[in-house]
Amino acid sequence: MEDLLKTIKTRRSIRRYQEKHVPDELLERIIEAGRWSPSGDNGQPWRFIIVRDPETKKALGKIAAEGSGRRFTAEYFTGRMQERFEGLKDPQKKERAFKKLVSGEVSAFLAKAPVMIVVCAKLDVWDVPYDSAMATQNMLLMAHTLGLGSCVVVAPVSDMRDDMKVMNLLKVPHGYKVIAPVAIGYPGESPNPRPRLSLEEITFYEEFDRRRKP
Amino acid sequence: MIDSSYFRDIVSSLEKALYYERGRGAYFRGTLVGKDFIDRNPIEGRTPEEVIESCLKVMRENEIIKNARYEKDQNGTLFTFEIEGCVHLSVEAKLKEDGVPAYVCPPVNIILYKIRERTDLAVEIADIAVNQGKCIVRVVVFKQD
Repeated sequence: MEDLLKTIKTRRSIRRYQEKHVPDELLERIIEAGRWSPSGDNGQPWRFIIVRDPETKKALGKIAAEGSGRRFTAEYFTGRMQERFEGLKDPQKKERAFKKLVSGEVSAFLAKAPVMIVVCAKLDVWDVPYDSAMATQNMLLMAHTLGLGSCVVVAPVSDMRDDMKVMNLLKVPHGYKVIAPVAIGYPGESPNPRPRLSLEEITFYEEFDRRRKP
Repeated sequence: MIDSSYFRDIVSSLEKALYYERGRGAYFRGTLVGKDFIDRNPIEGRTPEEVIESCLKVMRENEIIKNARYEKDQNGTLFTFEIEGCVHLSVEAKLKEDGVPAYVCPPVNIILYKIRERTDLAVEIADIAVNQGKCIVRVVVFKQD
């Protein structure tokens, strides 16, 4: 049990990878973990596209960078980004963070991932977002267990304007949607854990916001 | 003729449902709302300002809005639109009553979609505020590398 919690707690979103080939067998293990996810009505909406082609990865990286860049440029020019980073006191670090976000670089790394598995879903199923999210999490944990790094990148599919480009690029037919590409590779970085809300802050008893155990 | 409150209720219910499904991210699913209408109309212009004027003219003629003004910040990136007498305003007011923030602005979507199409600049709505019969919508228009 502790091993599972350790796996969950040590997983990170990896955005830099070694230039090392990820064998198909490992990708199949990852997809196998997704395949065994819970699914409402056993609808199994998930479909997976393995992408290794450099041109396709480059195109996805560009769409991702544009999506992130637009969103964060809007945040920057309205001052919301500055508010969000108020706690970061080092002006140089702050400037670097702003640049990374506004330029879209934060998502552009997708183009450099050795491989990606694009999670897609069939729409004629009752619980599409829930099933797909659970499958994706299973896959992230399996990748981590296999010594691989991974990162879910929603930037190229959050917005309808970008989503349609990705659908065309990957020839996803009507009746299906792209949930998100998952970048995969051997980790080239080992980031620290991001801060988490405490158990006390997020746990209620019997009704929302009641914090005492009955 | 069917009372327009019927359409207000239908559209606001759908927007509310999408917001409860996607939260703040619902905005990203509504960025092309209005595209079909403007694609049926001729729009001119090669600069953001020309495209804005052309779109506003079409929307005024079709009684989608009564009036609109905009100003740019000194960088020329942040545009602030003030839209009055918009046909969608009752939807936004209903959503506000229901505790749902305004996240779709069809008139500004239309303008941004056409700016993107005709100038290749990147565009994004930053925020939408509904107040006393008008909407203030801030957007960014910029060159993306």
